[in-house]
Amino acid sequence: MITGVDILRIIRESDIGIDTEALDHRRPLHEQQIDSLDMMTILFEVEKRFSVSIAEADIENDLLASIDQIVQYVNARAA
Amino acid sequence: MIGISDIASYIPGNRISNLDRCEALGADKAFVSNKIGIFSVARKAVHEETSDLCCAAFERLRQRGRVEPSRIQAVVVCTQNPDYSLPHTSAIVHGKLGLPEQCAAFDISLGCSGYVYGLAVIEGFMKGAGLAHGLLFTADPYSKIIDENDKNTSLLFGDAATVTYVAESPVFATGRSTFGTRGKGYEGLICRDKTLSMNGRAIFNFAASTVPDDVRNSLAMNGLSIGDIDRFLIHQGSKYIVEFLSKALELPPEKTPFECAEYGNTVSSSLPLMLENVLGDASIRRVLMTGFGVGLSWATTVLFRQ
Repeated sequence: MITGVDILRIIRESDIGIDTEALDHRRPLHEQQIDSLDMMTILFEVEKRFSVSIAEADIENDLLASIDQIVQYVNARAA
Repeated sequence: MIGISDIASYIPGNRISNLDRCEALGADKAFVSNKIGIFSVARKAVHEETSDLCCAAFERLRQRGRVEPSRIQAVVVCTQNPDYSLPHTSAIVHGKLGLPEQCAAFDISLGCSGYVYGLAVIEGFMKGAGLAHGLLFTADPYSKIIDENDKNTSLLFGDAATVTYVAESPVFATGRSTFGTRGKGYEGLICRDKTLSMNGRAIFNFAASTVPDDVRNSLAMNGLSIGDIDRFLIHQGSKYIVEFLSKALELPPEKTPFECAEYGNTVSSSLPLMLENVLGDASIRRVLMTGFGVGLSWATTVLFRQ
């Protein structure tokens, strides 16, 4: 099972230039200065690191908009 | 030995400013400037055909006085936006340039991986047929198929053409090349009903997951390491992807240029446009080039200065 800490680690390592400590885990990341290309990088790493495949439709339906949602998504597929 | 003897290019003078149309396209200016990294895209004139772009590039080559048209034995055009579905654009270029009839001419249908593939194809063809003078053109004006209201593509792609003179006593010899295809991902960048569409995430994921390993494989096959390379020419898809791949491979930023800010992603012309700029720099001994994109397709090679 992953936690928000794992996602924060990915965001830090992605060199986006964001203060990860200031991120609200419940708010959509695109509302917190993370743009679409940054999200591509983050989700790419999530897929690679946690061996999960993220469907395009799930992104379009905002199922991975926030850190909490990403954690929930990954853990649901790991179960 | 045959290899790259000279390169010339033609970028049309027309430009569309990306920053000026951000508001209309719903794009953020800072995003376009800092992430996409392309401030304007080149657009051919409406009356210019793909073959015309090729001929314009060749005229620049011819003016240097090192190529004699009457000696050309092979003409290859890399394009997926030909003048016509038939005949092949290389035949049209052959006619417009008045090349001799004892000359092979054929097209290669490839996009952003096309220059590396194209070099391998023309060199292999010429070696097999015992030829000494060939021209490899790249000319893929996506303006023919772009919906200018689609910010996913309109802000990226620009028109250009290059010609590489492949001959004996080359400046650069081509080392061993790697090639790959992921046909299952073909819909990621596709032209349907004469209109281009791109799934940005699919293309990014493809490049991010494929190119770093391919570059490492190419280096290994050529008996080299990252420290042995003087220039890393990464296909200029966007500033973001070039920087991403550069970081993934831990490449020195000063050796990994991003040069297309004023004209855009020119597809198969992307790599030779940059290579043209280092041809005359004797300090650059080894160049790694990697092209990747539509297909999905990728190819990497190393060039060695002779």
